[in-house]
Amino acid sequence: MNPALNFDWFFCRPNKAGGKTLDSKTVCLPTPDGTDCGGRNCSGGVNPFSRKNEKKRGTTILEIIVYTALFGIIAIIISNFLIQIVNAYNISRAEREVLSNGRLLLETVTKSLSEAEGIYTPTSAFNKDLGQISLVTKTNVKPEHETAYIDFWVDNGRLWMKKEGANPSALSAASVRVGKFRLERLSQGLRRDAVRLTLQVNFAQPKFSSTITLTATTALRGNY
Amino acid sequence: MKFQIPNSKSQTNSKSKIPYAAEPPGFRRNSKHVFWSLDIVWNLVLGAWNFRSRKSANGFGLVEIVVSIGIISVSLFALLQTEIAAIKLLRGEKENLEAILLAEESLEAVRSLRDESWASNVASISDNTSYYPIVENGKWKLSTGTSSAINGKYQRSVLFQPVVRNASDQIASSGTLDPNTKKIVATVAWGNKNTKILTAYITNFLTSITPATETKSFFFENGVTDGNLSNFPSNNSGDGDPTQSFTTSTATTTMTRADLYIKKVGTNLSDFTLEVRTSPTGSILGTSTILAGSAISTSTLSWVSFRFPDFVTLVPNTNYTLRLRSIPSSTDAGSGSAGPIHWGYQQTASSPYAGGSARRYVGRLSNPNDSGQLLDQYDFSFRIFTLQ
Repeated sequence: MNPALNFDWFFCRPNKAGGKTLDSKTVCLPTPDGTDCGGRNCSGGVNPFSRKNEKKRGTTILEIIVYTALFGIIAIIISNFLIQIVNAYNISRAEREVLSNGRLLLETVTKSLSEAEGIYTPTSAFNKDLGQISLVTKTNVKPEHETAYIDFWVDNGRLWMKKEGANPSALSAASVRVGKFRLERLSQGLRRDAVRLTLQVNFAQPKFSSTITLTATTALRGNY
Repeated sequence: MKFQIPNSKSQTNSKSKIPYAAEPPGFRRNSKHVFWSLDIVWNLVLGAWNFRSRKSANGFGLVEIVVSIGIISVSLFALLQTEIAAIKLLRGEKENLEAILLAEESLEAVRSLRDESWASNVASISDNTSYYPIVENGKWKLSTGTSSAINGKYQRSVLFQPVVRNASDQIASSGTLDPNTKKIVATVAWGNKNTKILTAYITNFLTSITPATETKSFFFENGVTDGNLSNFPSNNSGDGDPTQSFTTSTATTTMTRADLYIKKVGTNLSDFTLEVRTSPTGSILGTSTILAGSAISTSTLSWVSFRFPDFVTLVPNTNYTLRLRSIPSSTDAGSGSAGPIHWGYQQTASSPYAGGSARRYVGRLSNPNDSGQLLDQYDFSFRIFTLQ
């Protein structure tokens, strides 16, 4: 039934077609010509946004108690769920950060190592848990030079890289700590040098601990 | 029983009480209703209002609450399970990465051994026997058996397999055996049946390249007496490094390696490195790779190689000093009183090796300028290798 066509309902007119009167709930406006309204007050009309006509019903104490108890239980269950979700999210974030940082750091260092021609010993520290290394490389060298230096070191839990002539840049994110950057120099014979790298990356927040230990041996193919 | 919001008391279905009327009585076109079409718009607005209030009139009952809580709980539970699955996957991926890198390192170790010498490192390996790579004395070595757990959980092994080639010289399942090619299977196993297997082929291609060789140029090999450096010639508890000097010949040479005839005493020695210096406390010309103290024999004196990856150029007719250092600098290791290194020596009334002299307690008590004590009747065994 389309209410748009119910002009009787729109204006508070007695409905003669059905022979029934409008109920008190249906809102309507006073008729423009002031005709009768089936016993209802036409002069002021019925405010469609008022519920004054409805009867109020009180709430019993039992209802309040049951309602509060239900609400409490539900709130506890849902908040517990939410806490667990936030916890799980943080743990997965820790794992993700550690994994992606570990992979990136290892790849960056081993790529530089495999291209390197040699190691500049005076500024390298081997067999230390927080070591450092200076590499002599022939890749990305300025035209006026024959070789360039790349340095890697750990400072304040972050792994830094400095290419010659450039500013140092942190390779690891602030959300993780490099716990171990151990370099061991291996020499399998004449001009058969390799560097063994042990890298440990930990998540910075101890509450969501996550750690990864990666090992890689890279031959300095540049000097073969 | 139904809990209802007090204000939304159930309404009777008023819609059914409004009969449909196409042309309501009293509705007159062209009379007072000039804007009759606006009536329709008004009617639409009010009708929508009535429709809405009728809808909410059904109340918000317990069933709805229970259902909505159920939906919320299920979706939250699903979210939690997703996160837990993500954590599991990430942890698995982390282990995979660690394992793959260890397997790659096995292959790299085998390649290093191949580069060093095919004849002694690859040809001598038995096929289909499990080996595992370890670093010993600053270089890779294959040991038989199973490795100790790496990072507390990873076991790795390397298997060599023979390779056969078919008539068109391709690697095949049957054909003639190619002694200059090997298949390597690197396995990393951890946890409950987790494995990563990497396979590679190595060939003896380096035979076609004449490798650089080194020769023993300066040496003193008569020092075979085994004794604690702190006990001769008299007991002395000074701490520091032992040194031995040598003199070069008439030609400029490039030093690549030095062998010392040593053994260690005690169980927990620090790591060692050998330095070439202009004098016992002079400037450092070269540093060898670092050898783990645990790798040096404790039973008998043996020749231990210290390799210098950065070659040291030695000018003619000059005196150089080999200084055995411990890492970290320790007051105990080296020639000290506790846990010292034994360096094979010879004693004669005049110095047994004319080209140089032995010292102990060099740089004692962390004083870099302390040149230690000269042992004028003694000399330690050493071999210096140079590039040919």
